[in-house]
Amino acid sequence: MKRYLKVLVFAIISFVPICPYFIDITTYKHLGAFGDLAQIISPFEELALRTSVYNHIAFGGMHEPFNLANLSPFFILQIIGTSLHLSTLQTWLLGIYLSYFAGLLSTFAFLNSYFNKSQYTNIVVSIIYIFSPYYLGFFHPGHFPILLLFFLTPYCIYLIKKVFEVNMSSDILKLFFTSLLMSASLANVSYLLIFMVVLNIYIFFLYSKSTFKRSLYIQTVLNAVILGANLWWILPTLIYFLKNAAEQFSYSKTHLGAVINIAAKDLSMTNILFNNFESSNFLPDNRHLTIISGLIEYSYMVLFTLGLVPFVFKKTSKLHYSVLFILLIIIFLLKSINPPFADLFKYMYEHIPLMQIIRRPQSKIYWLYLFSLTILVSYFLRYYPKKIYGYLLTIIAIFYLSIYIYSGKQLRPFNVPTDYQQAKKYIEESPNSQVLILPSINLQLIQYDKSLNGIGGVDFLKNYIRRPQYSDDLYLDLILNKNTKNKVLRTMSAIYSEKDDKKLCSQLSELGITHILVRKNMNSNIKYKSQYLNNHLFISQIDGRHLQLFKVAEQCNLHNSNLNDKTKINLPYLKVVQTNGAIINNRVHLYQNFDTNWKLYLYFSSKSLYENIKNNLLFSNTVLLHSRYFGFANEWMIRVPTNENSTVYFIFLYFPQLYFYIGIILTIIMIVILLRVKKQ
Amino acid sequence: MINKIIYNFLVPNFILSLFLVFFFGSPILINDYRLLTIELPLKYQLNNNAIYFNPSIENFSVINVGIRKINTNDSHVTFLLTDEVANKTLTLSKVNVQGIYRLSTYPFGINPDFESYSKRYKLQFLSSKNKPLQFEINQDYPITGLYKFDRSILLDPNKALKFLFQKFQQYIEIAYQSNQIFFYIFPLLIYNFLSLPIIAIKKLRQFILDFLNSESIITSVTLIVLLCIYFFGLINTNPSDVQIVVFSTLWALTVYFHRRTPKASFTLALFFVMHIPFFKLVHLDYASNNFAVWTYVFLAFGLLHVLLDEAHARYGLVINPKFYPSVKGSLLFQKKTISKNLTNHNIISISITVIVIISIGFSFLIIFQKLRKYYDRNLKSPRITVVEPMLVYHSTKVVLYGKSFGEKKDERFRIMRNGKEIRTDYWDDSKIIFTIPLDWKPGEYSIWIERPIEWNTETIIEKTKPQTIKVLPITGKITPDDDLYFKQMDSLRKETKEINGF
Repeated sequence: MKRYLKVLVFAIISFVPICPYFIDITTYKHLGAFGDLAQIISPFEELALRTSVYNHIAFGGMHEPFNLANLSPFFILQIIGTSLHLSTLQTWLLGIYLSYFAGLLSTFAFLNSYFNKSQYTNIVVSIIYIFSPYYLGFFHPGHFPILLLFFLTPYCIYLIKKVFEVNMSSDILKLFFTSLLMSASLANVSYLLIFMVVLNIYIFFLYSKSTFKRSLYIQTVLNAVILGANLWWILPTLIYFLKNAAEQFSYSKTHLGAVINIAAKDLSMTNILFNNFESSNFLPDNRHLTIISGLIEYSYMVLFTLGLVPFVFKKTSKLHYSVLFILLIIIFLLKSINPPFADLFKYMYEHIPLMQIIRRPQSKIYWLYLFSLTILVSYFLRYYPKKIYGYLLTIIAIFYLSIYIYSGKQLRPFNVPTDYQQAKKYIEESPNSQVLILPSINLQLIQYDKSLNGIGGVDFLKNYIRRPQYSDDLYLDLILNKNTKNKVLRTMSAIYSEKDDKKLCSQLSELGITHILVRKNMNSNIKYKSQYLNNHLFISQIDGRHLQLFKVAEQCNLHNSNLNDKTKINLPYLKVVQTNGAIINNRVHLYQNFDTNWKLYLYFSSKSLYENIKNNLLFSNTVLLHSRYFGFANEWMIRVPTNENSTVYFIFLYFPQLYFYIGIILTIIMIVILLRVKKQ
Repeated sequence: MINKIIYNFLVPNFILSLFLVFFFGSPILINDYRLLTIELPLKYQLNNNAIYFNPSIENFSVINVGIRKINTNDSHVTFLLTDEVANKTLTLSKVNVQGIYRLSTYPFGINPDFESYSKRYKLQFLSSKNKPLQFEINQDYPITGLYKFDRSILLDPNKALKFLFQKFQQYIEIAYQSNQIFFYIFPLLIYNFLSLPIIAIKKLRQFILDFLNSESIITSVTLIVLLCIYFFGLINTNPSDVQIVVFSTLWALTVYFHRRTPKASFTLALFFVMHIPFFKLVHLDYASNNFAVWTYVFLAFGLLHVLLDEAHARYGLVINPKFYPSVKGSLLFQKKTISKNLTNHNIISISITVIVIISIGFSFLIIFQKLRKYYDRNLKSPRITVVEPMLVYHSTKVVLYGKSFGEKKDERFRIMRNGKEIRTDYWDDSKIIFTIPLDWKPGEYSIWIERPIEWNTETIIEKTKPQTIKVLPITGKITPDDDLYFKQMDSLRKETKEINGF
């Protein structure tokens, strides 16, 4: 009975983070944020895009294997929700609720396995960890799915401990599914590495519990299980990463890695110890900002002091010292460029490979500090099990819960305006359409105005209008194909400044742009300048409150002129184009960023299947050369017999998609093996 | 900061130990020599017989006696044996011995710890006739057969570590016995590199203790250090790493001298963290940050102390360094203590090993980088190899041969004479020609080349070493200098001669 009481308490408390959204459940349909959270508008329509390693829509197409990881768990939840006729907002809220519920259970399970003296204090400490105000920061700037990593790691540790002690194969199976759930949060390489390092360090601590041989065996199995559960997205990602390792490293060094001075500016020692940073991001009202952030600070001072007390007054265990050891290392990494020993950190940061993954230390490893602090507080309660401390911690827990309600809506519910729906319909109906999105925002993050409740960051248009599109937001700066970036920027400036129609036309046709979409609802100084588009080259189609859609005149539309027959299949990673009659031109173009991973195969209906396969795979004498077209797109030189009058299918395949399928098969094999082992 | 520590502490330390080993042998070897100065009364005559020790005795530990020649008048020699050996019978062949005497104390000031496992023995010669010329160690002594490789040990870290250590021991033994200094010098270097600072600290502690000879003074020193930290925390708005290092070193020394437990550091951490809320209330942000930093430092200290205590309890090696009278003796001691304590393998042992390995690797890396930069710079900086001719008259053309002169792109490429620029006739990467102007007075001049080089993202003006040329006066008479001028003509390069019209 008592067991269910705990679960009931957790079930009720988990409503806290979604409380502020209850009033929106009926009025709004979707949920967005300001940051990296890619909004899901209509899950079934986005299915093809979400299960592809290649994003053929954004910036002329890019390899986005990390996107796959987002399938689990939130996208799958959305699919289930939509099948049950729930709106995406409702499903998201359900997801948040379940995450917090799982987090509380997992932390409680972990604490209970180590400190099983008082269940009440374990519940309170779990709430303090899971409802730390720090996690509110993850609602605001995107990264939302990463919360699952912070919430479920205690459970993973608990399972690992159980495996070492009892060696139950059911625990290994549980670990497998837990890490499968966490794949969205592990999609960032740095989180994956940190997670693996933390678990392996923990396993090393457990070595003394068993013989070396057995420990090594268990460690290997556990690592294989965790990686195996994520193999379906790791495989294409890893191959991509290894192929572009040099580019990635140099990019990291010059771009994101170089901003640590700004990123770690607020991480002074006091702010780290007492969780006093970024509170201005999630607290809504400036009037109470100082009071509440001060209270947060004092609450952490209490927790930290309590954590230290046993070291001074009690004889502590080795494990206790190990936690302190980890805590100190984490603090050192967190404070990064701040004193003391800032130079030492800088030296390490510049010279030790992979150190650059903590370029924003607070978002990468602060949760480990909170977790270690939680353990220290639990140690304190073990040594001093007086009721007064229980009350003190209860007050802190209630305070944290109240912050969650007070901070209000960090994620923003919104509805898609009708103009957008019209534009989407119009663009999707016209063949071979490609969209240029204006106004230019100069490689900034986009942010909409109140009509879309101020959402921004990753633009929802990319998944909404499911046609290739170019814009110049921040993410354009992140793509590796610099030719495309320059071309987009040049075309945008040409629209604003070029007076020569012929030049403008050639700029547009090189990118293959057929439509121009101008957003009127940007929340910034960037205003809609319609006078520049008063050109006879642009024909206004839709002029709504939130956007205006132009069609580019036919004379500028040279795109795909030699392949304008029927497109039979159009998937992000597979395009099959059917042409009838003789092929005059011996060049074929694909308007996606040049990538050697794109393969072209020809299929002649007049020949047998065997002959076609032989022709394409064994003696490829039809497709001769793959090269760049206009500096950024793909061009193939082909040789087709002149007397060939049958139907020819052009099959464009993005090869790494196959790795995804191989990965899925391997993961399924792993599940089967684990289930069989469990049965035995 | 890290560079400062490395360059000012680790690298000099390393170089010092390098010198010590090359010039005096290692600290271990120094002790060896000390041990070998055995006082012997000169009474007896020698013949050519030698002593052979029985090779069947295991763990045979006498090394240095075998190297030493015995004087003709020696009546006895002393040597060391481990207890294990001594308990067995020591058989000596081809020599008559009066008896072996066990001596329990050492007259040579060797660390008494050594006594615990070995004893000094005295070998009395019966008569002058039978006295050996030399002690010899049987070189066939089967050292290599001592340790057998067993594959199963690789699966057990305890065994594997032990095995590795044994291999290391063996390696030094063999190298030492075969007198191949090259092979055992590097392990010894590492040993010295690690032991020197510890020895230094120990000596310092002894020195200060002797000097003060009072616990109460140390207590007051502790208080002063703490007060300094406290007030600097209050006053200093911008604390530097140097300050933290200095104060924390002082704190470390006080902990060490006063034999405090790690709890002292933890208490201080708690003491400092308690201040922060009050500073926050009065908006002294810098002070609260300083105190947070000190909280961190004291916590780190406490933890380090715990780790060292643990290591000490396990191995007794890290904080209590010992002088050992011989390589073998020291190794035997280490083998005993480590193998005794290495039964439980845990994270602390691993971390200490890792720290030691990393620090050694790190210092090697730094030295390597320094060397690489030095060579890199050397490669770029100009160098004059030949100046022809060295003795010159006015309007003689002087040719400078060398390398890395560069192309004369701007004014920063120039030849200098006693600090003033000289006009050049020709300049390329390996050759510069200039004419001695008429306004130079006869006498010696030093000339050098300056050029800018890009190095380490900076532009530095690099100079060559100054070269001396002598301008000779034209007098009408033939002076000894003129003789020399014509003499040098024979050795000049053909090119130089042609340039000067010969």
